[in-house]
Amino acid sequence: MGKLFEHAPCIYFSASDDGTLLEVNNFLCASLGYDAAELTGKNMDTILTTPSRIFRQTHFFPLLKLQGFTEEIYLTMLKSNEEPLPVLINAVRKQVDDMPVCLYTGIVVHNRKKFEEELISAKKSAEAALYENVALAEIKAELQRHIEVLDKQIHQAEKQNHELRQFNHVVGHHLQEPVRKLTLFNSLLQQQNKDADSTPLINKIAAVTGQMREVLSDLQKYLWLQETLPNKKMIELDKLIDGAAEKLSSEFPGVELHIEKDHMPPVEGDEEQLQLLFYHLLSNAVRFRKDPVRVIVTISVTALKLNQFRYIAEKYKYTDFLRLCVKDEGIGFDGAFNNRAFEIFRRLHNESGRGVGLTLCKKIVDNHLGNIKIESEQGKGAMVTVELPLNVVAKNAVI
Amino acid sequence: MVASMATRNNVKVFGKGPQPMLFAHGFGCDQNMWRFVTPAFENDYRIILFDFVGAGKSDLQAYNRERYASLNGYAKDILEICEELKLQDVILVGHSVSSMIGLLAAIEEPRYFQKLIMVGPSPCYINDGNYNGGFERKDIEGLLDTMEKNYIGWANFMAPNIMGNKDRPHLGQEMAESFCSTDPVIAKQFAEVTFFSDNRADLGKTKIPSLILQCSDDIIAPMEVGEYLFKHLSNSTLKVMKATGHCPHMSEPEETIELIKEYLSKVA
Repeated sequence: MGKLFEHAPCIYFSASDDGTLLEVNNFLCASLGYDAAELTGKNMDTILTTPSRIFRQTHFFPLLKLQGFTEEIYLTMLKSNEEPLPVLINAVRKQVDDMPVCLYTGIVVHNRKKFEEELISAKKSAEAALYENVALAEIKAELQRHIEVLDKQIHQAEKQNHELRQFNHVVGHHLQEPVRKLTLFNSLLQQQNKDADSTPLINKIAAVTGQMREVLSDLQKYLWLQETLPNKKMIELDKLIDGAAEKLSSEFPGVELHIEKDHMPPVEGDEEQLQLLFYHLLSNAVRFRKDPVRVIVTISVTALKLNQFRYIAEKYKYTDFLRLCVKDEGIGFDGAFNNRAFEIFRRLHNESGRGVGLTLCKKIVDNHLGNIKIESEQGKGAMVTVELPLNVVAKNAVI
Repeated sequence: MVASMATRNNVKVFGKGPQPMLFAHGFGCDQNMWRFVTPAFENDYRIILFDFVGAGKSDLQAYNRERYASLNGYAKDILEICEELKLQDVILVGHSVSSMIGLLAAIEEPRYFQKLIMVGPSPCYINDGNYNGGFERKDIEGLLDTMEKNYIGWANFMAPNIMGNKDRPHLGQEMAESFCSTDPVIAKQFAEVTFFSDNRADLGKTKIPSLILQCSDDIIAPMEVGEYLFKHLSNSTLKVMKATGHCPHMSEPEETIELIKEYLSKVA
């Protein structure tokens, strides 16, 4: 009579923390098709299916260790013939002779499992329907909000664009023409007044009009970037960077420009604009160099996933971006200006520069739906980080 | 409109040292799983514990399906905590999937982190060609099924009308004391994101020194996976533990503490 409980229709086994089986009852062995001797000393994973093994590691064990017990855990055991055996398990963790031992009891739940499966499937469809309903209603409301905002923004943008086009016209013709004439008349004046007292003044006028022409030319570039949509195609960044470096070498003949860069994967973008971007980034490194003849720029590349939503809060879509860090060892600038460096005509140095280069860079990166930031400290060089979305056309071609 | 990360992620800060040690729990549990390990570091470090949104006592209202459809969304939790607490030179200790979440955080904003400690990490759980992650797709589908069966009735149980039921006060108490409780819908998405993730291509993207704590006989992160990580993760150190299973910080906290301390003292 004493051993009758061994055959009671419930599962019983005990195991150490690491899962080594210490005792197993007859009912468990019979249900699984093992002899007790085959199981004791083995790891309890032997009698669990793979999903239940994962569940034991991620849920069952942490809970048992923290709480000292777990109740009504559903697991699937694995019979010796590889068939599954659904069970519901209770467990406690006790100190026995200073050793933690986990005691498990359970029942086989063939029928309950079927019933539960039907329940779960019904619950799932109900949840899915509910979620879709709620989600649809939310999306509808959100859409309505966005349409209203969008309409206002389109109106605003249209107005600004119109003004900008007029402004562009003013800059292009009404300002450029007088400046051209000013330059011309001034040079005539220069020729007529050789050796006269007024020469220094005339030279100053020449210098100032020269600067004005450059500013106008920069402004026109800015307006060009504002008005032209990027003409996107796959671009080899290596070539662009080499091209920009060559241009700078001819502009600064005495300066050696060394670029240390990672291998650049191709990106989708506007060739002319990206060329201008790298030209300005490298040109800043050259103009604000510390060493008079040697400029070292490192360009490192990381592919990473970033949220492509930039303005709408709580919207997420992680997509592939390429992050380029362009770092120089130049004179740098006051870190307090890190956030204001991209403002138009914001000059960070007294030495040179008209304060347009970084503004153009930002415009170009914006046109490519990317991000740009600059970090610097006085005397410690500057690092510009550009993040461009990697729209791999070939991969997602839908149209 | 964004609530403080401290409330959202149930952030706990304690300890007497200056350098922050940020512990990120893995899938299936919450910050409670670190309780056997943190006391050993309290005197020398500033300990930061938190629950990912959706786990433990985090703010479930902050859960966003789109954001947490990617491990990057979870990495953002870590980055936002670092930003809010203005952390620097962080030693980031991540268990299981949080090792990869930590890696993604370190790739996105390297400036916060000094060292990564990965407990039972795996960059990819599913077998793929020559790569042996340990599982087939059907195993993970089976896990999702097992989870569902264990959460049956859970949603009803958590419903506020029952939680507030004065006739059954023990229920509320039980919830307060139960560990590793997770909303079933969130847990399922976390499981899918975790086990179907593949971060092998991200391993080469950081140079931050890392320690890989590899358990003997861990079915979730087998030895081969630890060796793969060690080979592909720059500046990594691999330590094979005597501890078995997937939770050495719970089953063998002393060994875990000893190896982390040894690593921290050696790698400057």
